Amino acid sequence: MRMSALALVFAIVAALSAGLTAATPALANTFGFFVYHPTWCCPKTDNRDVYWNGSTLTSNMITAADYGMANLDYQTDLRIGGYDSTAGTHTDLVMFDAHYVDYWGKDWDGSSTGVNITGATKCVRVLAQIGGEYTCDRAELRFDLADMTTTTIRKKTACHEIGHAIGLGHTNLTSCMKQGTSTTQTYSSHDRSHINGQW
Amino acid sequence: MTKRLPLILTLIAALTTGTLAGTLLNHPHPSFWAQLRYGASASDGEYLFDSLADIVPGAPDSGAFKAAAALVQGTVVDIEPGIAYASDDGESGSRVVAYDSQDAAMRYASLVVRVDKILAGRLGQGYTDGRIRIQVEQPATTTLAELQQSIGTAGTGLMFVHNLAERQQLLGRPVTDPAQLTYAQSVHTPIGEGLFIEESAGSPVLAPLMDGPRAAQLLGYTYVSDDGESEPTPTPACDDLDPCYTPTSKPSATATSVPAGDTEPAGTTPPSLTALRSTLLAAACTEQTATDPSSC
Repeated sequence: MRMSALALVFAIVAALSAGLTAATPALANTFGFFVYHPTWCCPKTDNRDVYWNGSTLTSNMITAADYGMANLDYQTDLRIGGYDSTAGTHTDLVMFDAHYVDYWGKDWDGSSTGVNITGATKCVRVLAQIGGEYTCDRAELRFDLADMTTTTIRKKTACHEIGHAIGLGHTNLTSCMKQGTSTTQTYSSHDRSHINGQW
Repeated sequence: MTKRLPLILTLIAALTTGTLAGTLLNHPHPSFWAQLRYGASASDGEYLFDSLADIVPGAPDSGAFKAAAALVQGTVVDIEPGIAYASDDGESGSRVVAYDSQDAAMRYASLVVRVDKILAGRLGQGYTDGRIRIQVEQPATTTLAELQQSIGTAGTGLMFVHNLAERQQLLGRPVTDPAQLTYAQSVHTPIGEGLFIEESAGSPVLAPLMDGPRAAQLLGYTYVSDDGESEPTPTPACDDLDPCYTPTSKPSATATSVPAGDTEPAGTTPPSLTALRSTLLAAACTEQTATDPSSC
């Protein structure tokens, strides 16, 4: 009995210590979203098999989206779960394109914000996890056709927005996650390590 | 084994309690701006201007970008529901839904700001009782109630704004839908992502609407990434593998850092609000839009 009580006290002290240590923020990163140590972007996708839909994309853009998803599957431990011909409840990424002007109240041509938006991603269904993390159950990706003028730009932007949708933030490294003046169409080893560290 | 079960269960409970206690003790509740600036939508794009001087009222157009109508110093006193949009495959417009609707995919809250001083330009519609409302995206990772609870940490700031209805008129895209017009007349939109906030007296300014490298570029300091590594402010890096390009005919800014004014070597800390105010007032004087010319 005395041993059990001693073990119990030891267990509680050890657990409290472990808790205090474990809750110390890990190295901050630009992958995923944790409420107690938020980074600019974005809740990470909530499952390893990523289902997507782009049934309304224009033909050039769906080619780029196909490339972007295949690249995600090839470069990382995330996998294409499948292509949903219509967006259903388990669809993770839904892609749209149009000549956007003020869609969703955004200033797509940058005349007010000073940022000409070529593509945008919004997690429209977030899930709160125990411990303050948020994950994304459904993200919408939108491409402004006014800017999707070449294959290179379309592929880079698809790679970039898919990256946001699965949780990656911007980077200054050579990666499609670099904002603006970059034509890199793949993820960096840094991006991949973020993703593969989770999956 | 049966005798050990209570001990095992107690151990599990203690571990859980310890972890939760650790979490709470190590992470105080996030500040107002920490909640508002993170977890919003993300995008890719091209910057259209490269200096704070380009936002100041009266500054000439920088490509498609047009300067703010007013620069105000103000204090955030409240946050209210604004407007919400649903998802659809529409091209130019999107369906407005009730702010608390489950169909809402994008929500813009209204920051209620007490205007302490109009430093440059003028405020138009939507400036009543010494207050304006500023449109900001509400991230899905926080609620209005949580934001209201932390309003005491919202602080004061310098804000480049323009009434939304007047702005849309200026851009040749007047708001015609009656419901949206009423909203647009009541709110100001931040111009150039230009909100610069001092959370507490003397603390370095935050630029909550900009991402880190952009804020560093405009405010003239060296960006330290979320990884804790110092990164240079963006400079053009064009080679065969990563050539520069301009995706549209819309003019883009150079990526060179052009801080407004300060020529000191860049540190890693943003300026104070007082220092930034002096810089911006000087720029307003240059444009002859400062409301107090005697300060020029």
